[in-house]
Amino acid sequence: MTFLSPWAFYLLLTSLLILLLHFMRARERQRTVSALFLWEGLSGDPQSRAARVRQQFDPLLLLQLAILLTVVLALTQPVWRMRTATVSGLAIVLDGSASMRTHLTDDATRYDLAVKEADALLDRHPTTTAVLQLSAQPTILARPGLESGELRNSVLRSEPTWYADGTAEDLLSLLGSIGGTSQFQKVVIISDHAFSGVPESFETILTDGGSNLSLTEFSVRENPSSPGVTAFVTAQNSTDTYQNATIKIDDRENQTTLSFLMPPSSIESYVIPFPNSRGTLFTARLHPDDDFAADNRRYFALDRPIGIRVHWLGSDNRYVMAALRSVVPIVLVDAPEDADLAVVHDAVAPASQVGAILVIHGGIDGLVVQGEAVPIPGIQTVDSDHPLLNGVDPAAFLIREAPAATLPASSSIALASGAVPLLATYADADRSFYYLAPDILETNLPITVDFPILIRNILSMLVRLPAELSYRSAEVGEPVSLAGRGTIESIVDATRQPLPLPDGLSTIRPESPGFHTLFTDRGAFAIAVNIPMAESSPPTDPLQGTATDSVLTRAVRHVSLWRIAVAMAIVLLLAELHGYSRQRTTMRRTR
Amino acid sequence: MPTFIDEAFLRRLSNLRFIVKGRRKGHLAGLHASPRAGVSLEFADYRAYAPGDDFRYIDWNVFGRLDRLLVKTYVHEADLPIRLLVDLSASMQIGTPSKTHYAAHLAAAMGYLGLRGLDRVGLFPFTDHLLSGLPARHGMAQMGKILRLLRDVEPGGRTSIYQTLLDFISQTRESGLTILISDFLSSSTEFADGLARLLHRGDEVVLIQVLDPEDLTPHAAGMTRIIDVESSRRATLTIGPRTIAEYAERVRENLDQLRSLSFERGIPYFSTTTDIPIERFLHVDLRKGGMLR
Repeated sequence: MTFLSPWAFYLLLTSLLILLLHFMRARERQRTVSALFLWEGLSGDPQSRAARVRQQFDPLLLLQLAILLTVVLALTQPVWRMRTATVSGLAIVLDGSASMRTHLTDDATRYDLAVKEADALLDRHPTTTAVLQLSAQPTILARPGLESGELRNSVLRSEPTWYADGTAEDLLSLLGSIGGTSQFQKVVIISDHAFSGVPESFETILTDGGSNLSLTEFSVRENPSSPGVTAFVTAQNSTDTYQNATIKIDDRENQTTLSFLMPPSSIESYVIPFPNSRGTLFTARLHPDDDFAADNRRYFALDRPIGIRVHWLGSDNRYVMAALRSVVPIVLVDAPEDADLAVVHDAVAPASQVGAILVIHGGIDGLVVQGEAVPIPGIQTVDSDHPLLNGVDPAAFLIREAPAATLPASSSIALASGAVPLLATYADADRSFYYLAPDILETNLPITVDFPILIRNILSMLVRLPAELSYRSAEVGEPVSLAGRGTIESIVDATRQPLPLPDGLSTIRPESPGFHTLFTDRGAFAIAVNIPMAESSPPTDPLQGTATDSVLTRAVRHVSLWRIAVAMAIVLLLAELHGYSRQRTTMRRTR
Repeated sequence: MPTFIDEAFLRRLSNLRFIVKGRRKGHLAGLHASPRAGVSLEFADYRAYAPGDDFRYIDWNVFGRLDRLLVKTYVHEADLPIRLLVDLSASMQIGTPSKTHYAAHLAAAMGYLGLRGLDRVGLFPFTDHLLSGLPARHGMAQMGKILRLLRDVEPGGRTSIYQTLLDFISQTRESGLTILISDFLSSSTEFADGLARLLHRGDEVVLIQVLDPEDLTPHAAGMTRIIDVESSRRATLTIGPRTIAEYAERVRENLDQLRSLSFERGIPYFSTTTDIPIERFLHVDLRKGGMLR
């Protein structure tokens, strides 16, 4: 026997109240008589311990406890599993869509329950069984004819996908690939929702339940005429209570937050300004967490390279390159016009160099002219609020020597040593440069934690390329076109696992949510992949008849016993009322 | 207290009539023989003529034979004042139906019988004293008053039959048939003095004891707190077969005492329980006991 709502057993605790009230009553029975003198002086009968106990536990108490027990039993929705004869062919269809990852308990998801149900079915039909996993990418877990152990292992080892729900057509097509529905005397679908369009002979076992608060839509758009971006978010409260929700959007450098109260069973859309964002990759997180945490997080990537294309001038410096790569993917390009950033190291860039330039121990012809190296006894912070020094402690820097330099008059100096500029910026209509005077090898910069921070600050001040307008992100299982991004070199998923690239690939079909990274000869691109929006919505096509919210609501071979429990409760209640009435009558007669 | 007399019930009582053993000194004509010689068809005796006697009653046949003037006397048929004393104390409220209910029903039935026999009927409810009652009157209008009184009176309080009888004697001067309806569950026999005074006055007294079956055979078991309905005094004891037997013995002694008392004084005594239908009690028990015919 299975209890569909075992929580109702907690109601048995109310029996303590009944017992408490019973024992709080006077132990002695009272009897009002016409003349006490007829009773006075009687010695009374000796009372045995058993008789005393009998007197305390009157039948009405037992009846009341029995009524409570049967009512609680009815509320637990007991189900009797009927053993059925082995059928000649059974197809078990496990719903493998993302929503089956919803937790019903701390350690069991809808899919776990579905597997348990499938396992029970396999007990009864050890052979001639096929097991399918239905989602937007349906698969055959076990073909008919597998040995019982293999069959069971294939079910127990299976995992739910991140795909959307499969359709009835998908199911029928899959069944067709293993002989068609006529091969199976019975098809049992174990899912968190009912399937419309399947033959009526198909049976469904529901494994729904669990609360869900979800982000169903998330996109980001660069502000056309002002810095930063604007996020568009839709949140859905599928619970039956008000929720204090918070949406946090971060671009890996900055974060913005919105808190609000969501009414039960509501869908709310918000436009969230994010003016200080300069990022490309955005993650929206919805709090509090719920039983299906996957749809509390959605991703969005602006359609532009996430890396920096660097044109390197001068000698190599692996410390500088490592610091740059620690911040963003770096792609070295030969043509200055293809670069987002020119790095001038220990060299002099031509005057024609425009755009963003990072000058390290070098110069720009006619603009930045270095002189003789001079010892640097100490470093002065000229402008402590300079954005380049955000999070940087200059006192940690040690510089043995640096060249004196001539900079444009409108340069902004952040660090200096006397008249020697050490760190400065300059911007005009054609270019903006970042000047770091010393030879890196004459400093302790490579071994300080502040150096990558300094590089990050420099890169964050780069003017980003405008993104293509993009108002949607990809969903798991959805084909994503890779065209227009150059020659593909590699692609990794959200867990940094490389994905195989078959020849002639022009689309990919992501299998998990998160940021996938596409490396091409034109740079690195992020593909934001989210779980399908429909997986966040509660099932809208309930089973006909007795479907409710409970777990395993309708199993065709299960017999609900709650009606029997209710009938027993009514009979016991009538008996209790009769007993109570008789007791009252007796008491009235004796008064 | 609800009204409990209906027409069908009264019709079934129509063939009953009180039997009075002695001759009553009623003022008005009725259906009972009076000790006063008077005008009626029933010959009573002869007595010597005295000046002032009505010449019409001189038996001239006797004068012709014996040469003596004798006057014939006849039985004077007088009405009978019937007074119903009904105990409405708290102890009478025990049981379902309560003894009060049963006693009131009985009193109403007997009042109806009395009025139908052209007697005067009065009703005197009592507790530990005589409550406001109805003096004996003729006529069916009195029946309505009796029913209203039985309906309106509030039962409760302690019982004192002795005090009640003293009050009753002081309030009523004329003797008659006095029917005392109570459970007579009293440890004191003091009320015997009151009965003696009533008999001395010339009243014919009838005792009707109304008990609840539980008064005779209580159904109780186990540790029980027993509460006196009138005094609220309490006693706790474990009731079992032995205690029930002892109790029954005490009740039997109490009833025997009452029976002996009534026998010694020639007072008719009837006992009933509330599970016996009133009609059966009237038609069977009271007829067999010679109170009704």
